[in-house]
Amino acid sequence: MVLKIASKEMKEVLRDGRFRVLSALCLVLLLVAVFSGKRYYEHVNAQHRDAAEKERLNWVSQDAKNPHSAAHYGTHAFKPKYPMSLIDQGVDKYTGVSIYLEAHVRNEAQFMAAQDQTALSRFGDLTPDFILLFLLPLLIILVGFNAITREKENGTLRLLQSMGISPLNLALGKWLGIFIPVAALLAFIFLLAAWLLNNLSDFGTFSLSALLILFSVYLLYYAVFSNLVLIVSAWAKKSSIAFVILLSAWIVACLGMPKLTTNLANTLYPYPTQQEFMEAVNEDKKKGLDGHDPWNDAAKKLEQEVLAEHGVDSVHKLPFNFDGYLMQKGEEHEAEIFFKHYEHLKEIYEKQSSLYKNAAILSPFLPARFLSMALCRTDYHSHWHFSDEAEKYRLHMMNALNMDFADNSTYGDWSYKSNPELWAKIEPFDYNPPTYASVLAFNAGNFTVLIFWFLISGVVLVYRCKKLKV
Amino acid sequence: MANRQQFKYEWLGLLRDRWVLILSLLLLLVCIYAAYNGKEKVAERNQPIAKAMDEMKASDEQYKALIDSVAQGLKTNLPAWQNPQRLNVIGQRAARVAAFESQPLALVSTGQSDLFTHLVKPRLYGEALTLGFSELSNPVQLLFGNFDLAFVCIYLLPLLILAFSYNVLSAEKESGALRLTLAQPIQVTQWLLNKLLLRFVVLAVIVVIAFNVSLMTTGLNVVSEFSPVMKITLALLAYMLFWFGLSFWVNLRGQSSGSNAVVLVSLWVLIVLLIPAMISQLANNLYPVPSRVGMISELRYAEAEAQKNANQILESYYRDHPELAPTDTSAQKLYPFWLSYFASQDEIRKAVNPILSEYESQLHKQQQTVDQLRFLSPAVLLQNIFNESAGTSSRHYNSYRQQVVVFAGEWKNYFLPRMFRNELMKKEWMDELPHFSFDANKIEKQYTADVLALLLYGFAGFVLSFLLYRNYVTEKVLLT
Amino acid sequence: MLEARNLSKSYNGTAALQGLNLLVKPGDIFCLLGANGAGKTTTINLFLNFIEPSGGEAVIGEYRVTDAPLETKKLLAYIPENLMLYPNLTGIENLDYFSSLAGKKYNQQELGKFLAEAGLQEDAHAKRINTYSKGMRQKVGIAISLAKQAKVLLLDEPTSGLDPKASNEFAALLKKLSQQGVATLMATHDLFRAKETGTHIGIMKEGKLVETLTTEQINHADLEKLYLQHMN
Repeated sequence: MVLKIASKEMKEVLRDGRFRVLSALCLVLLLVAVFSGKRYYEHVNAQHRDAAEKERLNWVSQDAKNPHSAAHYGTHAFKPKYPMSLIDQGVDKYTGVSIYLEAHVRNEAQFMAAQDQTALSRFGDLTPDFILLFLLPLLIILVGFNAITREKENGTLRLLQSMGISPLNLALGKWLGIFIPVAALLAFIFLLAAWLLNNLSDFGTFSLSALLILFSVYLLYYAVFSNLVLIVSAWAKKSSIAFVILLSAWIVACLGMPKLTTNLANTLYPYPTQQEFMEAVNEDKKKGLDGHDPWNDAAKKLEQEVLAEHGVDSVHKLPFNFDGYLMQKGEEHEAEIFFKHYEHLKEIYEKQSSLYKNAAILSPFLPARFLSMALCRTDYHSHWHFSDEAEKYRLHMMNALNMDFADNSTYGDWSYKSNPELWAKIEPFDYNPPTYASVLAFNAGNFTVLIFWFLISGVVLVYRCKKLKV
Repeated sequence: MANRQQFKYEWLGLLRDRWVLILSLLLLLVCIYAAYNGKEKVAERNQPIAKAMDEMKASDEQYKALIDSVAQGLKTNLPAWQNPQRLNVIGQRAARVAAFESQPLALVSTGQSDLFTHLVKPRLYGEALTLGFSELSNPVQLLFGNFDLAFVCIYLLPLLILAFSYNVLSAEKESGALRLTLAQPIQVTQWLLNKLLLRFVVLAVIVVIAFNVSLMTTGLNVVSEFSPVMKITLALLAYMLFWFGLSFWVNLRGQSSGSNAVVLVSLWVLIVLLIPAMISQLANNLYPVPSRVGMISELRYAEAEAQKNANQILESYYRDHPELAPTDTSAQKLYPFWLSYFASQDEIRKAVNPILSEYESQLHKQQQTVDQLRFLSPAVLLQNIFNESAGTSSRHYNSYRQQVVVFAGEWKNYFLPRMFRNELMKKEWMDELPHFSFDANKIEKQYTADVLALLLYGFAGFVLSFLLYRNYVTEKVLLT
Repeated sequence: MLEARNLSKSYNGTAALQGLNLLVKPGDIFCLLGANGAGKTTTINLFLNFIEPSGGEAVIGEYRVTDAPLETKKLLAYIPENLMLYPNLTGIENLDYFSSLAGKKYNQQELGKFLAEAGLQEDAHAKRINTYSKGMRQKVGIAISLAKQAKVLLLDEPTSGLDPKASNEFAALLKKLSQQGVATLMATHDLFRAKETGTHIGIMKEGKLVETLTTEQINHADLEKLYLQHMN
């Protein structure tokens, strides 16, 4: 019975000019988006690989020089792009592409793509996520807004009810009639994406299960919209009213709430400005150890401690170069300061994130948005992870350089030059993104909200349909 | 006369329709909220600048006093390397605030302002071209964008227009009143045009009031900013006209209200969401932004090479700048370390600058080409007008960056010759240090072209509809 | 005043009206009878230029409607089966609006006079149309044709769904107009009303006018017999 209704609904949907035109349009756009996404991914990846190789070459081909000079010369860590980014570009455009790793400072990632583009890019790009997150829900609305109101207006609902069809079966049939065509469209795109990803040269970093999870996220997202569409269509007396309500809901969910929450997050938990942040860091630095300033109070204290520890009365008698040691201790201290301030930044970020999670109660778009970019490794959290790992590598690198200086030279010998072999001994930065298990664990909240949306809207739909009157 | 009566009764009809009132109030509230958001954003931008300016003034006074006391031979508790008589100390530590303060109408559009910092301090030792202009921000916020007046006008206003006009003809057809109307000696196109014209005027008044009232609630003096406010208003009217024109065409097709609504919303999606995204995608594919990471590796290589020859640099530096070479070699040198530092910096700059300026010019070319694509969509045109009026366009930030680079050069040029002359900082020099002020006049104005294009779009819908339905067949309208 | 010359209309090859010839002179009330789909409404739509004829011509006054749609519309008034007006406007406002579309300008008093003449009670003039019954709306329709000073009246089943009293009042108004020289073409199912009010009767079947007669020629019982004959 349900299947009968569903197949009749689907027949109607498929014969409807609207659906054919709009879904063909969506399909074409998706194809364009997926293929140009793949091109973009390969292009960017090649650039990054090339840049990383050249940068490594720059690093290892340094002349013999003081290790601390090398530390100041530093190196760049380039943020890799992951294959699934061809589906969702997430916030990649708004995060920097490389981090400069140098002595004394933890730098922010620099060169965000959006800064090099004109304001036109703020309208969004034609990427699959744009179509999947914004347009397909709209397609569901356009196809289904009059699914039940139409029957009311034509009087066929009266006829159906006189035949003793349970409203629930009717609703389920209609639900399938709306959902299945959209799901089929989605499945086709994901199959295509899977095929494309499978043929990428660096297939190793792509996981089929992640793609499947992403697929189910979108299915869930569309199921929520199908529920909402039918609830409104069952409630409204006229098609036009159903349409206006659903369109407003779409605007609120997909455009309004994300922006409203952004403004709210900005007011409640503002990020410090770049200047404020650096001032706070410098303030803390002033109070503490400065590797370049042996007259600093903290440096004097450290000197006394080290002398006492080794039982000597002069830094000249230490078994290592105190300058290098001091430099390393200073670096560690500065790293702690940066760690503290970045942790603070992260706290703000987490508060903002939880605000977005709360706002998800009013917008199923938000959890889907966050889940999608998290699974494609293009969310802010992935960026944080990269930034943290780069910082770890920077400290490791600084340690190796400073300790080479401390161990192989004598106090006051600033003309010491280390062997160029040292540069190659410091292994290149090898970044591994967080595992999917941890991504999922981190996004459990978003998953819950989305499932919650599905269940609640499902219950409301059943309730609404039971009360369906002519 | 017939027209006047028609306007009168259309107006009465609108007046008695409570939806018009509800939608108008809603629009007003949304505008006020958006303007409030804009104001918050502007405050967020200006507060740190004001603070930095105050701090700079205070520290200037401090330095003056310190220079005075050191000159008089009094003891200060500053370490030797922070001696304020040293020009390099002032050049580095008393850096000027190069701020990009908000323009009066900044609150109407966040534009690109959330991507960039509005305050940098170019210092003597730093390299202006590598100054960071990024602002610390949560990229999710950048992705979602702000709820500002530009958003309300570009995205939401068209929907309001569509809600006002989608069923002007079809509702009468569906109620049956159209048959009687068409039995009168009138032109359907003219009659529909009158109806839409009245709605346009009513909505225009509502929008202009809502827009201006929301600006006034933020404390903006609309009268003193009359000209830029008028400019935006004119653009808004042209944009509204465009949407009415579209609605005119869809109405004339004579379909049902439901079908009109679906067609118009699809057109909205196409024009406001899809076309801009497609243009953006097209731009990225046809004219890709030159690679930043490629630039980094080139830069790093040049830097490393330049540093290798850093030893003989000062000598060659004097060769290039004989005017700076000390005439009396026996004079006591005040800045030996710094002079060689600047010399080597200069060497590095020479190696690096061609790469940077090559990159910048490529980027500039790319942005200019992409800029032309804005004519493909009225929504992009309006966004450009908003950003230009608000002073938050890409062009403003590019210009700010360039002006800072120029200023950083001035700053260095103030100190370097004095340092080469072995001079010490004087108290009165503190007042004559170069200072930065942002010059908005250096930015290319695109308003006229944009608004003309928008007007063209505005009238195109009507003109095309008239051409298309010159011989209006009522058969289609009444029997479909 | 109103003439159809070999007027035809077909939709995608199916003939809705074939070679219709009829003439309505000033003062005539020509009643078109026939089953649903016989072509009555099509005839009226053709005179209104709502649809284009596939052949022949419809003439009002001295103009062909296809050549001078606006001129002919100045001469005619039309009342459809279910006259819909603007629900948010009052009776008098609707009248003012439509007569202004017809290019006439009256003051409130004159407008009120037209409504009264059409038989609409005084206290309803300033009430909104959404409070009106169907009969009251039809009266506003008559008032519109009065105000327009129409020479031709096209009526499409104007009395269907009216109660007998309202129907009777409507017929009286038509007679009054016809005495003033208005030519009326009315499609109707009401044989009794046609015989009582009309001057001529035409019976249509499958797009053809199969019988034309004057009401004086026939009594009511014979008319019904004749009608049923044609229908079977």
